Amino acid sequence: MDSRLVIESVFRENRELAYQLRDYIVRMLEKLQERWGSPPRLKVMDFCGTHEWTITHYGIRSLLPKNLELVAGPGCPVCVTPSHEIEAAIRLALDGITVYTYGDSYRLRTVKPVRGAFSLAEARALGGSVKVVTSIYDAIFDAERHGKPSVFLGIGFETVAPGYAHVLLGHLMPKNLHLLSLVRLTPPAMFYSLGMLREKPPEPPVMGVIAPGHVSTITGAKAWVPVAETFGIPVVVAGFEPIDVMMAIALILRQLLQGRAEVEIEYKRAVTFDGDLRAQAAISRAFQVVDAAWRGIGFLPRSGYEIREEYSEHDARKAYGIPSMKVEDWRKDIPPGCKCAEVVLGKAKPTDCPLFLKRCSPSTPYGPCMVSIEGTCAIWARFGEGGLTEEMAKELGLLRPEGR
Amino acid sequence: MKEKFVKLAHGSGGVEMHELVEKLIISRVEKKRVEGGLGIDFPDDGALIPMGDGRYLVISTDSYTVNPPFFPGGNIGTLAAAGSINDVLMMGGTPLAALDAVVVEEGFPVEDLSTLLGSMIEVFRSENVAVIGGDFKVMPKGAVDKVIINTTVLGVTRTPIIDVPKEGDKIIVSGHVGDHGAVILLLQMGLGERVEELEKGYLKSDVRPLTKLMLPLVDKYAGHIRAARDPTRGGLAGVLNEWARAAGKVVVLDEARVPMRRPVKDYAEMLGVDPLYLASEGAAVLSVDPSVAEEVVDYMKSLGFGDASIVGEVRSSEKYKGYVLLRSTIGGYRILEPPSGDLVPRIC
Amino acid sequence: MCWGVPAIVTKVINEITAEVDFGDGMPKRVVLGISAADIEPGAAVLVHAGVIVSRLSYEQIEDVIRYIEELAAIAGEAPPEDLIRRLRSLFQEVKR
Repeated sequence: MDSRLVIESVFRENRELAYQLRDYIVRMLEKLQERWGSPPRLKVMDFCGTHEWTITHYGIRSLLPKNLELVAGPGCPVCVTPSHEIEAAIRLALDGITVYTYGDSYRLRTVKPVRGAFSLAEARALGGSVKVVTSIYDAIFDAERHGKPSVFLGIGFETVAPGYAHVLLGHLMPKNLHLLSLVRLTPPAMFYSLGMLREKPPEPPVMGVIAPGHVSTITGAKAWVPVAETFGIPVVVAGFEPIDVMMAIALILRQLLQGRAEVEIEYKRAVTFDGDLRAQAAISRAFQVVDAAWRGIGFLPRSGYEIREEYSEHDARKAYGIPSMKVEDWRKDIPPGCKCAEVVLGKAKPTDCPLFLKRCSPSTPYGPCMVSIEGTCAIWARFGEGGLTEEMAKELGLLRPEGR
Repeated sequence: MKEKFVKLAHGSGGVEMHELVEKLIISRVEKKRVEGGLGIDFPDDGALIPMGDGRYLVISTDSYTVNPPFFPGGNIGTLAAAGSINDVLMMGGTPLAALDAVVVEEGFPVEDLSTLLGSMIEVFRSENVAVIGGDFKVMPKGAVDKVIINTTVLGVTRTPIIDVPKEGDKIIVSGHVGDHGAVILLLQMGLGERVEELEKGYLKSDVRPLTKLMLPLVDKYAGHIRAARDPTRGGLAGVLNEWARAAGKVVVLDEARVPMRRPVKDYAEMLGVDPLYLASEGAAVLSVDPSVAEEVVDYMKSLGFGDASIVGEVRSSEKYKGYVLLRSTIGGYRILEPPSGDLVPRIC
Repeated sequence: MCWGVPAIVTKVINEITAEVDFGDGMPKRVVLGISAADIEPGAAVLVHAGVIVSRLSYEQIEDVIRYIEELAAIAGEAPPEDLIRRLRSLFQEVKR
């Protein structure tokens, strides 16, 4: 029980520390102004979808000064899962094969419907066998019991890979259950998005990265060293409580003040520099690294995991003849006028898109960032990011004045 | 029609359900109320019919489906009785009589049915509600999942609570929220078969009639209570959004003040589900005149609802009316959106 | 992607599976993402999608105090003594 108590009172339900950190952030921005001779305007990229969730859920943007923007990166494995993979899963479900999915991918919409279904949720309404689980273990337990042909939709980043790897290496899946590996690797995506930003720097520029904490438990903080070195900006590996995120922002500003661009770990209670070497070994025994398609982004070299030949008896691609996408088949699944690609890469905020909350809204989604309820545009629209909540709070006389 | 097929999300008490019901029923009904009463076109717990002597007849109906029918803290029988009693109470009514309609699947054990209906009858008896009629049907195996119970409860009141929160009102909850919803999630996650383990767990439904809270409260503070609702499907978030929309106001909720049991919080966190959307079956949400709000909370405590607290307030804003604004545990703000879709766990 | 939840290990079943409690009193089977040698019943761990991805370290949690002091210094402010004292006593309590 104790770990929860500490985490809650220190990192989650702690207005006092949040205000304290906010004050430090304001002070440090003032000091940067003295140093740079002009008022600093900068972006910090929160790479991971769960960080974006924390920022939104706890209203962190409404606590920060206006000249420091948080911009979401491509770190949501649901949002980057190509439409055609979900279409394949829907097809299986409608053909009577039980599809196990996490809740996230259960509602993820496809670009075009399969026999009338745009998502696994709709496939279930049409009589398809779709079951929502929280882990591959739940699926194994259930599939063993009913013995019918089943597929586990294995989305995720490095964080889920060790679990899948142990299941493959230990041959834990019953014969009737196969794994469809949709695992994506985060460093290539971070490199790609920062590279794009370097080519065409946004205004204001990205001057720091909040790196994904749980991915780093596996890969170690060392995975981000090339990012800090190549792009010359601070990278802080952060936990997922609101105080973790605010602390990470403060640590990024400290590095900027000290003229450093290093990898630092805020999330020391769970992350080490080297990561989990045993897990890394298990992953490379079970999977091989392949070029993979990212929805809204394109084909990224060496950015996905495919099940190795030795374990192909468990591979859903082999069992059901589901081809991996080839580079030449890649079509950007983004409709005209939509800025989703830029939003996914952190080049633009949803509010920069002329369609946002006009032609494109949660009730009438147009681009994939709005279609997926976890997409950045959908999150901003649903929870009032991009200034709406601040405006509301201000209008109601609730907001604390800036500074102190 | 946009949708071709009914989805589970249409039954989650969220945006999808309201749209479907509006389209298929409400918009097609011509006579929506009895003259001088409250009808189908006003979002509230039940309907009102004036009796001509200053009193109103209060009517509320609900169908209950839970699988499995037995769960920690209660069963579908207690739920069916308490749920409809609470709906009448939230209208300011004193529940008097009930009708029940039971649909059972062929092959369902008579002993189990006897237990369920025994629980239902016991709740009606303890709350002094007469059971004056009903219906009983059996469906072929597979045509219905175990058992469905519909109850209609009738009551009377001189002081109906028609939910219209006013600017400045304080939002009060009577106690812990989300308990029932957490149990239902547990069942949906396929753990329903681990009945023995479930009983050992910390999650229990809070299902209970709120007669002992609401009758004295309405008696003492009628007129000061501008709105009352039990936060069932859609949870606290659902009630507050409905109020904000119906009253054209902004509701500001202070997340840190919402009473919630530790295991409910933990379980919701594990699944990545926001507990503010989880149902309660033994809690009330009130919108109360600020001049008596503290007093009302103290009175609720004296009635045995020790966790009653003020969790928010009603504000006016022409520009942002209809929104619920939440102040988070670290003091930031976000919009608390209306419930939509079915609650599913997530990993991202 | 990274919904991680703290839990307490209740039983180590074998090299690849363990049972944890998320606080709901319903023991749940999870896959070991870390070495079985690194955990024992009572250990606080982080679980992501049914996989233990890390063991939580209390010693390292206390680093939060060092960070607060360092950030206060660089922001040119006095460290928040009251807050730090309260955090310290909380950590002491947990250790016991």
